[in-house]
Amino acid sequence: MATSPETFAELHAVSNYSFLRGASHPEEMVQAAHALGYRAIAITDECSVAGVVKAHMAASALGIKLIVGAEFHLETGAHLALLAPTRSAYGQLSTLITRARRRAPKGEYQLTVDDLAIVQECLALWIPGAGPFPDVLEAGRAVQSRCGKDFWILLELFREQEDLERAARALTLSTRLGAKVVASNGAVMHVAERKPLQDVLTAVRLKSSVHELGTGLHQNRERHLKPVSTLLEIYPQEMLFEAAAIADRCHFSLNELRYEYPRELVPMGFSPGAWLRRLTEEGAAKRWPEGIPAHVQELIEKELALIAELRYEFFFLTVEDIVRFARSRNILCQGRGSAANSTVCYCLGVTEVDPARMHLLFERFVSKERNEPPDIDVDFEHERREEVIQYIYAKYGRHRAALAATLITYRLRSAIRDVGKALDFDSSLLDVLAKSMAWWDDKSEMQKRFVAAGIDPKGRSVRQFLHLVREIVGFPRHLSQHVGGFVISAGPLAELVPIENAAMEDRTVIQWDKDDLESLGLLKVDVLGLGMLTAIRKALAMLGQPPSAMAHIPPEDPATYAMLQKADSVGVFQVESRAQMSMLPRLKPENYYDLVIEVAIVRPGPIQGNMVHPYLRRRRGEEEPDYSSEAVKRVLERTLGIPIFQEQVIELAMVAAGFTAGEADGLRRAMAAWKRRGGLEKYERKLIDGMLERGYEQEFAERVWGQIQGFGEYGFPESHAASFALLVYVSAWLKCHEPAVFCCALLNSQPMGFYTPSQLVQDVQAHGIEVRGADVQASGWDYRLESGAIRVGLRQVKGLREETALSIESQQPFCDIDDLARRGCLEARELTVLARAGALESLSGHRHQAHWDAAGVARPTHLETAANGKQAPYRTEVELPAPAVGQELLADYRYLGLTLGPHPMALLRSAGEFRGCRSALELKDSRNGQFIEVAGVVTCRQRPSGPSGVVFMTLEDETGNSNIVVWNRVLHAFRAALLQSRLIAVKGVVEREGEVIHVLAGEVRNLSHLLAGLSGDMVAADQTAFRSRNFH
Amino acid sequence: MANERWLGVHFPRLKLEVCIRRLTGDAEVPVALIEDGKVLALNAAAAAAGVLPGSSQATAVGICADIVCCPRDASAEDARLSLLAEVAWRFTSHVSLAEPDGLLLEVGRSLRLFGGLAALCKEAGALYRELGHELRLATADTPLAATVLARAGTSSLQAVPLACTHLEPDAIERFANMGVMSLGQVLALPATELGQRFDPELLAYLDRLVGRVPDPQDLLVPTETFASVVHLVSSVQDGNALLFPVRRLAGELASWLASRRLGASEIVWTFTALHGEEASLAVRFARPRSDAGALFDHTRLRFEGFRPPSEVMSVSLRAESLRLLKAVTRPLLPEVPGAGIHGDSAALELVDRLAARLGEDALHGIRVVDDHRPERAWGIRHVRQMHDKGGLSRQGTLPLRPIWLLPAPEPVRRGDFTLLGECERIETGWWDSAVARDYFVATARDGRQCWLFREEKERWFLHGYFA
Repeated sequence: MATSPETFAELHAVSNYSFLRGASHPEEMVQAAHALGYRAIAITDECSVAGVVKAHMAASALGIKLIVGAEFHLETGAHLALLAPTRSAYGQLSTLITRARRRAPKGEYQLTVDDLAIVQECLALWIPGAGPFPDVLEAGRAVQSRCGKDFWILLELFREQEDLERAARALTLSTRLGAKVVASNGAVMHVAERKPLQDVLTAVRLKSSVHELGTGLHQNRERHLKPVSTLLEIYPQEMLFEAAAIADRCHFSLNELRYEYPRELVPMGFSPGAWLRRLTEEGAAKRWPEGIPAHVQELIEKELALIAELRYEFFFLTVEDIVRFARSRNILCQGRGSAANSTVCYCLGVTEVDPARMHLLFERFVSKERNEPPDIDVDFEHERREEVIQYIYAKYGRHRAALAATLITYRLRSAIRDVGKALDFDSSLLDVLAKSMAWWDDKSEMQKRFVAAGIDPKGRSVRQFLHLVREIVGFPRHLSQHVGGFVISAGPLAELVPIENAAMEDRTVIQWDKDDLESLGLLKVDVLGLGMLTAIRKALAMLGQPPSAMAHIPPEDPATYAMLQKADSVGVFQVESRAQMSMLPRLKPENYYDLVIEVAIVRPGPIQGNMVHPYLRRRRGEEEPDYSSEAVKRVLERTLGIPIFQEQVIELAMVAAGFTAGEADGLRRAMAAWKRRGGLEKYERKLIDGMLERGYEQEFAERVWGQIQGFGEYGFPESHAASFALLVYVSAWLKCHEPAVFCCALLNSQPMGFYTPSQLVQDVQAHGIEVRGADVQASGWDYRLESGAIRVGLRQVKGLREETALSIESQQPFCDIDDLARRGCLEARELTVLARAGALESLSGHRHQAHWDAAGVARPTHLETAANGKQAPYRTEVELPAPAVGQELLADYRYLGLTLGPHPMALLRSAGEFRGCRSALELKDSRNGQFIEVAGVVTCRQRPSGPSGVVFMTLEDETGNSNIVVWNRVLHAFRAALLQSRLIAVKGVVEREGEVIHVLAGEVRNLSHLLAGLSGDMVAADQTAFRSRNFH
Repeated sequence: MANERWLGVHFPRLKLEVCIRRLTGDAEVPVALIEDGKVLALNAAAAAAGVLPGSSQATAVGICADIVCCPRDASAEDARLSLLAEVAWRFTSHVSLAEPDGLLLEVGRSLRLFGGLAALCKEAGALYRELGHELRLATADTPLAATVLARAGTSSLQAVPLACTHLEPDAIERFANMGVMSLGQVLALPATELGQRFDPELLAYLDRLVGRVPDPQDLLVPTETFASVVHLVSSVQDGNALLFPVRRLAGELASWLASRRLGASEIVWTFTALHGEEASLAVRFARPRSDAGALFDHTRLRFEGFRPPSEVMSVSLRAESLRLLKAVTRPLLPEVPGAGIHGDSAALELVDRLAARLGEDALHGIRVVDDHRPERAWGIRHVRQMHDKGGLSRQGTLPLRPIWLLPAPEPVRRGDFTLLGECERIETGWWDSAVARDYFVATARDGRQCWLFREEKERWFLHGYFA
């Protein structure tokens, strides 16, 4: 009989979410099943539904039925797949996966046959094993008796010798168990051509290579989705019909999943809407004590109506509850994101950005037309975020709250390593390939690398390597926890999505990531940590203010803006990086909205779209904004006709390229996932054609497209920039008006920010503030103020524990080193640590003597401490010579991380090597195009990705920092000096634009040996003291 | 002893030199010695290319693409140092190792023999340079002083940096913290205060260093090899007659080995004729042997193809490659092949006997190779390799495969065969030589069962016969 493909459905296919086994993306599986005309396809990853949302989206787009399932290996060895025909069966399956995963360490699971009792409504497909027949029969009976009547025997044939035995066995078991046999491809890939990749994945999983694995790999390429005509050659057709019949019994779709928010957020007698209104009104009364202005009241009404219409009340209430907890504990927090910039959130205290004052419209960010879930990320002080997380777990319980997953996928670097190992490439070669990836896009460079390693770059193994690396990039490797995206539900969360253990103890993650949640319209609350909030809260505390005082920082202070316009921004949130510092004097921010732009403009999006210079020209009035239509004007007017923000680009796609709301939404999603999964290309033609049709120039259209790609790399929407800009303003205000306090707070919040404590201290000294050294007689754990001067805190002493410092702090002052050891309860190691850092100076004098004295202190016994018996004062007849200035300096850097003495360049500048070198200060007076030589300690080396090969370096001397740009040609000529040196001199040409000065390097000298000469200790100087921060 | 005179020999670049010896030497090639992914040492060419010690291997390769990176081999360094020590016996019998990269020679008694210290040093320096090693020499009254002076390359103990002493790195760092960098500075500090601050070992060390307490050294003892000669009363013509002295020497060797718990994996017989003509016969064993029976039996078997010179006057036996026997007790009774736990042992015994009879080159093993591709699923290896991987491979169950696989598949016509059963598809090996075949069991016209496969485009090949 003629058989249409519709007579078959694949019921047992694993995707690459069965990590290091499946060799196809779930979307590829679905697309292949559709192309082959299958009636349906089940994605049955091993104890996981992590890939089903992607499969679901693909299946919905194509119109093929997706069946949600999972496969399992029980502890007994039995192997089966379970399919979910209904919503409640899905809940059982999800619960089963949760149970199996929660028992085992991250990435593993454990399941007994008795656990199957909870999946009564699932359909069970059992794959008989190869052991002795009676054992197999027994195993089948065990599964069948737990799963109930919906039980099938799954037959998978792969043109292997065992096929005959498999088929015969399945038929015998069918009679003995009274169960039907159903056929499957047993697919681990969508097409046979993925076999090499599947072999590589196997090799990675087994930590071996394809050469060594031998029969550990499958013997052929049969485990893929095959045409039904081929299947008919292999299986009796009833077995194929049976698959279709089973598929017809499955009606569950992921679209049925609905998210229910926790009820306890709303008191009895209130509806969610009424309760949100009540909280909003209470907050508004506090925000506007003299009465709520009419236009604000109007905004509130509009927003509440919109929230009610979209049924987002619970989302706002959940966020409000978390923020209220944080406020009750004096934890500073700040919301950002589309929904955060609403008047409602301002009233609820989620954010301090007054949307009315800032001219931000909630509607701009949340609209019912756009199918975009509301987004509120809340940043908390980074040192205290854990308290908030524990509050959430305590309030909702682990069965109702879990973190979203972050999918860790293969990147180029990891792909090179793993594929290379699987192909037996030399590990040192792989190191080199993985570390310098600029070669990837450069064929000749690539060939050189292989030739150097003795490998023919055109040979088969290199071609295979390159092909496999490209194929594996984007493949999921494992689930990790999202930084802070919580999913909270009304009922058991495990019935919605499986929960598994994260690597971190006491953390659980769901099997879906944020894209999956968004695809299904499930909401998450992001609880993030931000160092600057810690610093601001600490600064406010030093000024005797509560965290809420952040709202009362005087707005729009001209002195603050004047400071920022000079790029005097070390330590200021977001605008302290080198790139931001060169933007500040050009953009010259003079109000809050300028800061919003400042934060957003130095990002890959606007930069790759070449939008920065046009914007600056228009801002300076050198160019008139022009708008092709009123609609475009509405979108771009606030940025002078230049798209800066992600939202503007999306809107532009609608008003200027004719995208529908749905298409624009697709573009936004594709942008977010582009780096990981691709899929942006299909919008390129549409956008550019759409803009050309509407009369835009090709060049502008292509720039907009470049910007979209840039946003894909690092999306930065206005709704986030707006919240960040507020923190920029607050931190800048503190730096401007309370520089000592601000610097202390930054230093007490480390690690955070762009600069090291050494650089922060140098900056504050340059602002005329005295900094005093770490001293056991005067320092506490934290940095603190001593009549206007900053006293270095003992937290800066490398290797000193906080308890030790607090113990010292509580016993100060001490009469000698013995007294310190005894009353401060210090052990020999801790004394050494203090001596190294120079913190014993006031007791012992210089470091050499301090070490001698520290070594001579007898350890205090408990008896003495208890009796407080006075010992004889410490005495020694040895008087050691003091270290040289250079040695002190090296020890400062090494054990304190900063020095208050002279800068190394101040000591070395008189050496002949630096004749003719200008200081960083003198560089400020140089002309554009001038030849110059500068020298300094390398504090930062940055090599932006991409084929350009340019390297940025920052050199520090006794007067400040100089910025160096090294182009590829020079880099090649001075490779060794540039990559290894700690101290260099650079000859080059000054490139100057206003206050922004770079030196384009032409010639480089490595002078690191001079640093070593400071102490005669080459290794110490080279390896430890002057470590530059290298960014690749 | 008052007249002790110690010569310290220090090989500052021993690690690198050992590693370069393994390369076929071209001094122009940049070489880096690698340990834990970091560059430990460099030759001049690598240093000239700008590579620095301590940098990562990846950085080194990044800077100098042609650099040869050798991993460090500590055991080769030890072996080399022992060899260098043995060479020193020509100067004195009092040779000790100053690990990891030096030697100590007590030369007080040898000075006159060599014409004074300077002459001796000159000769030693020339000798070691000839062997490919840089070195520094120093003499002192105590062994420790000689060593540290050689390491430091100075003649003043005061000036020796602490890094060149035997102090623990921790103590050196603590002294550095105090600004104390040289031995002179340490020796100037009051001993009691030093004792309060440092391990008691430190004061003892300083005492030995300056000769306040004696510091006896472990002398190097020559490694033993067995060599024994039997001189015959009259010359022997008949090969079989030679077996008598052979049996005696084998017995001697056996008891010598037994007393040292050693086993020989190779013994060499030398037969010297009256007029000086010599012939040697080397006998190798699958595993180290020490029993007289085995030593003799294997020799006798090899004797059958061996022609000793006529008129043999002396027979000598040397056993040089000796191994310490494992503490496993061997049964005294001869083993029954295939019996019980000694099955593997019996198989090796068989291998030894066959090898002895046929000559090693005639004997090969078949091993099962773990590969889906039939022509790669077995391989030949030389009999000597069989001992390396713990006996003859017996692991892995074989799939249904013909016993006789043709050396290469032969093209055939499909029509000449009747296919039996289902196909088995083998499609793998993409990484070296890909195959894509459907295999069938088939009957040929002559009734023989054979193994066919089909490649793409319906090309058929015969690959083997079943029995």
